Amino acid sequence: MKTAKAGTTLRTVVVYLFVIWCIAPILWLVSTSLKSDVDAFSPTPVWVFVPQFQNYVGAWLDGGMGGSMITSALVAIASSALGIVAGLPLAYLSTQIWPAESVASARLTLGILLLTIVPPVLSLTPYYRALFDVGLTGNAVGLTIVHTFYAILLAVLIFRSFLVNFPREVREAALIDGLGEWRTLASTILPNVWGAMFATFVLALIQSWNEFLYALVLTNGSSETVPVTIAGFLSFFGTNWARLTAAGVIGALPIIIFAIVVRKHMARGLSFGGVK
Amino acid sequence: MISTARRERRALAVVGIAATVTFIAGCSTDSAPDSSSTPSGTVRVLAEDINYTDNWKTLLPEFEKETGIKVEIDTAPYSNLASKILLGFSQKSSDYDVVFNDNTYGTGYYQSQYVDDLTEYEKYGEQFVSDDDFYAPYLSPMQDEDATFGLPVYGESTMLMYRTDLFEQYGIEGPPTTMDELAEDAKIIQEGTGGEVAGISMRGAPGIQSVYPWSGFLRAFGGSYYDEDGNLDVDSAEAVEATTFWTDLLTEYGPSGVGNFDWEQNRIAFTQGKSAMTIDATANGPYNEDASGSTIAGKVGYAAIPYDITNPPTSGNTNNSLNVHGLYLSEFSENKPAAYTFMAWATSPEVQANVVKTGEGVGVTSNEVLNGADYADKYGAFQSTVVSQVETGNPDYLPSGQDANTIITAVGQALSQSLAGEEKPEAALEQAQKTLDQQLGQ
Amino acid sequence: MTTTASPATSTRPAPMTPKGPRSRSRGQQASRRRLAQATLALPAAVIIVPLLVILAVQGFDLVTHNENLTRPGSGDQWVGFGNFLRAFSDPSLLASIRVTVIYVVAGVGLEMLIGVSIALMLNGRVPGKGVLRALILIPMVLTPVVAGLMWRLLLDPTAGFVNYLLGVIGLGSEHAFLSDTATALPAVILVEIWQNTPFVIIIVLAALESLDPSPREAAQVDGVTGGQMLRYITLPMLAPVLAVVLLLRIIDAVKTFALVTTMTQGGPGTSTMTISNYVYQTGFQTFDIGYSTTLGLIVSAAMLILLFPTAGRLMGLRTRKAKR
Repeated sequence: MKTAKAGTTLRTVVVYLFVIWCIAPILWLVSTSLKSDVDAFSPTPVWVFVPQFQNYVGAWLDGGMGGSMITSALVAIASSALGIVAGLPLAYLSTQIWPAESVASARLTLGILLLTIVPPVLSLTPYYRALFDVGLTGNAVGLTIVHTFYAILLAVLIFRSFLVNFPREVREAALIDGLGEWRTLASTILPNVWGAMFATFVLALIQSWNEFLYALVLTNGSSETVPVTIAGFLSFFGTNWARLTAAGVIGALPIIIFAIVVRKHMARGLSFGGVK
Repeated sequence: MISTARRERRALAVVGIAATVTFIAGCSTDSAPDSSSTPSGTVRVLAEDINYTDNWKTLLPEFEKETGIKVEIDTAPYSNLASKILLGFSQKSSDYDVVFNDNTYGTGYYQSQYVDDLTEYEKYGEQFVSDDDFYAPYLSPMQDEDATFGLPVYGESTMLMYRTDLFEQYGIEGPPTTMDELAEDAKIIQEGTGGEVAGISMRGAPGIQSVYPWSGFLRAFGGSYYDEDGNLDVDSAEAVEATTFWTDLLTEYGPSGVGNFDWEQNRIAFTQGKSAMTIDATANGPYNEDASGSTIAGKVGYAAIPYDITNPPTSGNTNNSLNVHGLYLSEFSENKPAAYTFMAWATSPEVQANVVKTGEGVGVTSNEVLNGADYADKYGAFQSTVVSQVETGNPDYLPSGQDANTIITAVGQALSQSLAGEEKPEAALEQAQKTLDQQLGQ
Repeated sequence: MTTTASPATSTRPAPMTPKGPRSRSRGQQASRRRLAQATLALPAAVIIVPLLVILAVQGFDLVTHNENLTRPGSGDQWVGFGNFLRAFSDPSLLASIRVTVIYVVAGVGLEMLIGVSIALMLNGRVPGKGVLRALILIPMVLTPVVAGLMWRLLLDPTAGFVNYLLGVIGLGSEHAFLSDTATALPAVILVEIWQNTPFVIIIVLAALESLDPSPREAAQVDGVTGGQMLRYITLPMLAPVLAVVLLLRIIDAVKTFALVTTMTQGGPGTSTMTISNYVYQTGFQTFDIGYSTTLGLIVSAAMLILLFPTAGRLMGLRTRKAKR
């Protein structure tokens, strides 16, 4: 019994140490963001200081965080929603309609998976050029399209994992009743995949919010997203670290709060059905 | 800031000139349909994210009121600015009428005909500025034969900065005048302070960061980027010698982390007293002397950068830079007259004076401002060094033109490898030369 | 009076697989259904197909020409396979592949090890489990740009907290982690691990909690030790999930870009120059976009070839008809 208890204690200690390792840097980030530049950079940590909330104000107004937060939110919500709208029917098609375990279905899924492997650097210049020619760079629309693409990939993979074991009889019954495919989808499948939808939405949202490379190239001043604005604080001419850390906290906070609130849905979505 | 009387006078002058211009244009037998005899409309600018730009933003309402031209200024972080501008140019985009960048790129823009010769637009900005308002060394990198293709906003050279108090403490008489002395002095202070204060610090981060100060070392040892036939020669004997010296100097007498130093980190190392000397841009001057951020204000001496060769040039291939950031007019702009009016206003003496008055403006390019009282007040400590360094500045200090960035990237990588100990200087530079031969098809 | 709820339809069952029409009305119904089925793929196709086409067309154009943004007209210079030849003798490409491989192997390897261990520990009785699970989400959802910058500050030789701690312990306090070739890449890998181990933990923990308890209960009755339990029961049961997590992490780690950009810019020297950073540098710092796209293509192809068979098997997909 003693060893069991010792085991539990050891386990607890290790886990808590790990969690501290996860959280401590963030706490440090927050504390740095409230210091003045001098305090932030002093070689010995300054433990007691007067909170400088103007760093946050400065980051929000002058630094442009206010505008880019809105842009990021719009792009993320739009691309995630569109991703679900486009991904669900496709997943439904490949899992419920096509023959079970069919080669076509497997190939589609594999194809989608492989598209996620392609590194964004490859498609940067081609997409930039094409979107530029139709005037969709320099605003958030071009970026939303690209993010929707990735949201669809994510959606198909997640929905597939949920639908692949969904009883086909449900659909067949609906068809007997004379419903078309879309109606079937809406009335039979939809009510049962809210969990998956939510998981997809959450993951796609986070993916879009944090995306950096495409945003860097496809947006301009007023249509920047959060990661680009934050990176922009790193100026050749002198980084305003106090503001930068404040901007980092501002940019990270919504997603962190959001993720914590919806954490249960994330696990189910993240493993693409590896976990039932 | 600008007195009402002056404003009235200026307004009258503007009206007068505008009227005259319109009159002349109307009478002129030149049949060019002059729909833009008074420039108007909107001008879009892509600018560096720097205080000179902030200065324009603050004063814009005045400009718009005076000329009726609306101006929208977008900024991009310096690291992306060049690629954003180039992507736009390569697509012949008319998104931006004016771009703000330094002459390393500017010369390339002109070579590629991405930006316009400004001579034909001068009349649209006469009321604000003319060529001889500018300090000549700052304007010359923007000129090519008879054409002027840019208006300088701010410029700089490089200089040696050293701690007069430490020099005195360790019995060093005056700044080093040769490279050997430089190493010697670094050693004395480093050992004298038991390593507490590094002998010297410079930028070491890959790319333009390290290439910028290093180019001075290249010339100090008598080298250049090109050989006599105009071929790229980055692994020349002088380059290797300079790199070896530079690497050893920083490895032995540089502060820890110097291999990652960008401009800001190097500046902070010096102003926080972590190193006794530094060779960097003249723009560092104000930061050294700003008591609110610098621990060494009032204890800094400024001098020219030492040479190693025995007969150093006083002009031509000198070892101090001449780097000018200017406004360029896009070839694809659809509103060039108005764009030029903005450019002229932005570089006018009055606007430049405002920067010096309200912020950091050590690099202003207007003669009037450079010789003015405000400038002397603020920057007197190093004004003479700045002026003399700019005067002897080497316009070819950095490779310029279309290939500039490629060369800088390759050399910068070689320097970083050398400093990190990944490669010996000779091998690193040879590899850079090979890469460049391949990339530039020579 | 009740009417039948379902509308009167023929008693024909819906065909399982659309066969040829036996009568015109059945054929019409079948083809209409096939049309409806096709429309299911339409929304996705509207986005995916154009983007793929653009990639192919523009990509081909860029790859076969020698375009450099600083030289107008260079885009008209056909070079065919020239860019590929150049890539194969490019030492920087090989170096970047080497760096990326080390990054992936060390980073993902340690993530899996640490992640699975912590997940196993969390699976037992740990006070405050709920809160802990919420807290470890934070590194995972933090923007990589912010994570990189934050750690860069933390590792700073003069003002960084890490150095301060090391100094307190007595390990010296002026380590310049990011400018020493020996420690720069490990430092970046550290941040990768910090950010992504929670991902592993969350999924493995969820899997552990949904495992069928009977084998483990049976084993306990038989009196197996903890180590044996782990090795012969738990881990094998977890294997499918572990495989999926491993695959996902590898895919993600190979694409790494933001961390290096904000922490080291590929330096010192080339010790942290990963593939994505090198490709980006070629395209957006030296503006050699033709060559840059070629590099991207080569790397994508290599990864697809390497991961294709494994990915399929891991996901339990059969892409060829099973042999009986």
